[in-house]
Amino acid sequence: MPIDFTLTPEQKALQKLAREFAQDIVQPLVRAADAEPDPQKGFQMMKPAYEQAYELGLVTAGFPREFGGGGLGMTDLLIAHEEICAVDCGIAFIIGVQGLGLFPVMAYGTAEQKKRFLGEACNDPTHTYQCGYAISEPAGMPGGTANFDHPSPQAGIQTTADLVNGEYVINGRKFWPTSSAGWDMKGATMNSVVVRTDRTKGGLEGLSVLMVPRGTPGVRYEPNIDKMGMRINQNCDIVYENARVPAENLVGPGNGELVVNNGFTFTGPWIGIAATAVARAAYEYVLKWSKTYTAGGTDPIIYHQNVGYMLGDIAMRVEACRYLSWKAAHYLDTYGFDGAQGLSAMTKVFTSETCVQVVYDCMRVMGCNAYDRAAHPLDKLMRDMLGFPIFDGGNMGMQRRRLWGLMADERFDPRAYANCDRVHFGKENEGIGTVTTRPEAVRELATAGR
Amino acid sequence: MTEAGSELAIAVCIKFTVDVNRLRPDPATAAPDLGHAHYRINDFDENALEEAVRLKERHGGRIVGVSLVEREPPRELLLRALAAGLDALYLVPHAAAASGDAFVTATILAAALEEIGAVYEMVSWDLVLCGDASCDTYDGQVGPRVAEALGIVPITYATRLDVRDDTIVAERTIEDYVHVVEATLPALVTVGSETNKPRLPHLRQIMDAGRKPIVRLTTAGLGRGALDRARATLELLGVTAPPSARRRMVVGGNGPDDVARKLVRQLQSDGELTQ
Ligand SMILES: Cc1cc2nc3c(=O)[nH]c(=O)nc-3n(C[C@H](O)[C@H](O)[C@H](O)COP(=O)(O)OP(=O)(O)OC[C@H]3O[C@@H](n4cnc5c(N)ncnc54)[C@H](O)[C@@H]3O)c2cc1C
Repeated sequence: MPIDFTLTPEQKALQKLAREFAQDIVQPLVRAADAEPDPQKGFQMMKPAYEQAYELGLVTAGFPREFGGGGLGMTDLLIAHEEICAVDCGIAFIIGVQGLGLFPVMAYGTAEQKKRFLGEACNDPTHTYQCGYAISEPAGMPGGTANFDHPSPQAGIQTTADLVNGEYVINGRKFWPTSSAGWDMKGATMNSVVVRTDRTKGGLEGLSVLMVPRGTPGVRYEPNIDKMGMRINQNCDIVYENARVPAENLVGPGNGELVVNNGFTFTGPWIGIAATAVARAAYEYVLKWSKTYTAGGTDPIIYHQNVGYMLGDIAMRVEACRYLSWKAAHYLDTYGFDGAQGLSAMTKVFTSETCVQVVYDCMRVMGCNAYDRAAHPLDKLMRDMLGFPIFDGGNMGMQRRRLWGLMADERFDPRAYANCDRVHFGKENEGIGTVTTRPEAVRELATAGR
Repeated sequence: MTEAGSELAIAVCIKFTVDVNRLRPDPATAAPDLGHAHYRINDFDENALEEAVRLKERHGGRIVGVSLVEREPPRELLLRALAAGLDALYLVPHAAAASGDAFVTATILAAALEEIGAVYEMVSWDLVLCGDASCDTYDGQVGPRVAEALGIVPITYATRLDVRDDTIVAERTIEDYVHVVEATLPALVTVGSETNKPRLPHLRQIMDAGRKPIVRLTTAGLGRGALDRARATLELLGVTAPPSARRRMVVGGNGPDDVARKLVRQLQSDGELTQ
């Protein structure tokens, strides 16, 4: 039995649908939305495309059929996602973030919660439903996100939720969540928010997720973050001041950090194929350019050996990234998020960093004209691409720590992926590298031990 | 024949054709490189299918696709046609599909339509929809010839249509005029890109399309007379691309005006521009 990379006829038909959606419906909106100086306006300009995506079942493609979703597995999702990302990764994330926002419910929700939250997501007659996913926190002391699973209650996630008379009362601030403020800055239909539900416990025990619906009093949306790339995405600044949600909206009590890590397992191949798609768009553009542009010479530049070799190197990295993403997706479909952690982290880190270099190499092949943002798409592709290594769990902290935590485990088998075995990831693999080696702290520990 | 006001029995003739936009000539022979061709659903047939779906949404009924094929088309195209709204798809394999002879194609299609209606679907068609033409050969003959073979009314180049009781009302846009025609069903109507904009199918329709029936008929099952009648009237001698060698000419001169003048003169002497 061969290892089969053949697309099924269904997958090919799905690929064509996604390609047509991207070219016919998304493409005409992208340039103006990307150029719009007001980030909220740029986001709103994509709303018609989002509504169409909802109508076609693309928004709810990954949710189970029993709730009204498309029931697609991760591998199928990747086939469609690549085509949309190749035209614009921003709209693809607006479409896809529901999968992440509702991941806590899919993976940790009770039967009742699944029915309620997934049912609502899949059956919105207005076709505008959105669910954001809020973990990240702004800079401050403490602040940031990379150490969300720090063992100290005073570090990591500082947005708190206290149980008072059957309601959770949320206080704190979230920074960066995609699509969380909604089309009108009054909130997405729903947001899943990672909060500290036990102020006395560290990141491995004290965190949970709360589903916060639109219209919850005490939630305030500040103006969106003005970003260098992915300008089509809305990235929010949310303030919670005694915001109250019913206790039954609690998901994964005490496992908030596992939800985060497993959520990243879910997104690893999905971001991997998106990075591949952005690199592919640059590659296809520059390949065509190289066959027509002569740079003042007599022949198209592809006949210079350096250009030919470089294009070969570009193409092989795009292919490698695609197959690694497919493999991670297949692992996820086969073993679930718990078994696919390591491969997913490898995929996220490898593809995002490789594809930044690929887009840059495309600019090198093309030369000076690549820098002309009015005439060519390399400017947008590069700006979008630069986000990949730092969002969805920064590679330098969260993503590499996941892999490190797994590899440092006694039980880790380096041949597991060659053998196609399930690789378990649990709480024992978390928290690694969150406690620093600041010299004074080390000295204090040594003195205390004496 | 369905009763007036009841559900419509609609057949759509669909051609799975080479994608001419992606067709390359074989460098040695200048003939189309069919070995590396990509296939698609003929674009006007997508309009025909969309129109059938709209009629079904308004009046109810059942839509089947009928396609004369030289060989089995890529399955993803069959799924797409089913996802777009067919209730069933009938494939009729016959070497004549590649002949480009509209008379033969129409004769076999008409025989297949009769057979499918009588034996498989147990209806007589209220409406047969065709594309105005196919994007590869662009003869525009198959629709009217099928109507002739079936002995039903043809309405060509319809830009709007609706059914009222047992009457079909069609608009045909002819330059500055709109020509409105009415006919009693059954009828055959051809449509094109001005008739509608085919919608994209829902993702679930695509994933579930494989559950709908695809029936493969053999032409042996069709009436003997039909095949006898379908004798070729045309002989296809060859298909070749016009030569388009790259000239790679550099036009020099003193400043843009001079270069432009020389370029125009060159193009005129090459016969690319008239005076
Ligand atoms: C376009 C976009 C969309 C986003 N969407 C969302 C969203 O939907 N929801 C959401 O919650 N967030 C979202 N974010 C935020 C983002 O995903 C995370 O905040 C970000 O990945 C956090 O990673 P960081 O490494 O920058 O974290 P920081 O905490 O800011 O860390 C900064 C740096 O410090 C170093 N560092 C810190 N700790 C360690 C350590 N223990 N070990 C090693 N190095 C360390 C690393 O160099 C790291 O890069 C989005 C961001 C962008 C740009």
